[in-house]
Amino acid sequence: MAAALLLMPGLAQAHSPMQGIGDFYGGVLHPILVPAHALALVMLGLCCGQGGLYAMRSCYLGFLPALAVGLVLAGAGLDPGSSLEPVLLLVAALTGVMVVLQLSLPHPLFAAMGAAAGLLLGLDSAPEAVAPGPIAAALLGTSLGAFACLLLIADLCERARDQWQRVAVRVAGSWGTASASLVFSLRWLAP
Amino acid sequence: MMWVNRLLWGAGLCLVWAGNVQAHSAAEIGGGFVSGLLHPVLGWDHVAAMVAVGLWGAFLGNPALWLLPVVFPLIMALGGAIGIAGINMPSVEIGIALSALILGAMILLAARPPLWLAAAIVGAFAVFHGHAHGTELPAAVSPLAYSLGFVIATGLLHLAGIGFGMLVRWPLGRIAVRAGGAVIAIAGALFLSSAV
Repeated sequence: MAAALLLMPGLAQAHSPMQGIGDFYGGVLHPILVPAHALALVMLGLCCGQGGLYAMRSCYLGFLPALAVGLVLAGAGLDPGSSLEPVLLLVAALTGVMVVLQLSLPHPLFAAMGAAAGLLLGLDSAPEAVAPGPIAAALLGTSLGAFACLLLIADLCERARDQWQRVAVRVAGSWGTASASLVFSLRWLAP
Repeated sequence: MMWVNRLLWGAGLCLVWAGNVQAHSAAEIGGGFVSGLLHPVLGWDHVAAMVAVGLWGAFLGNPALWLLPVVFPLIMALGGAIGIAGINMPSVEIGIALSALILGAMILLAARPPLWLAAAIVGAFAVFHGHAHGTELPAAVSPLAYSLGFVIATGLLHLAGIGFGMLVRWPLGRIAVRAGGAVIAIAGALFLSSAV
């Protein structure tokens, strides 16, 4: 059922406000609908899930407050333009490398990675609504959607005990790194 | 607890899938992802080389089984960046054809080089494949969806090779895998003759 629910976003497309689903649900789906956001969240989830429960807690402790700050700033009208997406992709690529290498990292680093991803994600999620009520609803939805996505991936990864599952996590890390670094290159290297 | 594990794995995989096919507009993302997904599959030279990577990994056993398919996309991204930057690489098509020929020959001959050498060979060829993909990336409607599509397609082709390569556990399967390597090597030779 969870799988079916997660597939439903495929029917409701577009970056932001989606007709008919309202600001709150539009915000919930936003982190999954924007590929760069989804990729960054998946890579972060894989990385901290791979690190175990303490790493996950550290990551959440950094991620949640930074996401809240980023969203509040975005809701207040701070518009960083399109410059944040490449930075998010860079974060996704670096996190993916850590997943591939399966490094045993100090827990404060997970908090820092979570904070960086949360802040960038929040700043890059400015709602298109203009009235305070819909803006608040969209921001609340985005924070819930982003955290739920991170939580699911991290928990899934933490439960990976069999060797093939651990390998699948590392393979997913390599795929994410390859995609993110290619698009990052496109932004900076394309003539 | 097993059902919770299965549910979470299923949900997680779907979430990854959902993330891949979404974007700012359905047509852009869906189109970008599908064209990226089809790109390696529609080129027989890519298909032969990708399957050979998985096949050789399975033939070599752990840790090459998973290390080669992990190394490939990472180095392929490097080749892609070179292509995106507009840096010309000489004889990309020849390099791709050679990858099928050499990797097929490795399987046919049951070559078992040290792990670092196998990874270096696969990585060297990945640069050519990445360059070919990278030069087409700027034209993609949604570059991230396109890149995710072709990276996933590449991984699935590796997986197909690994699946077939698992036959090496049985004596007859070992012969079948080596025969598969021969077919890939012959195909590589044909690609090479048309590329030269």
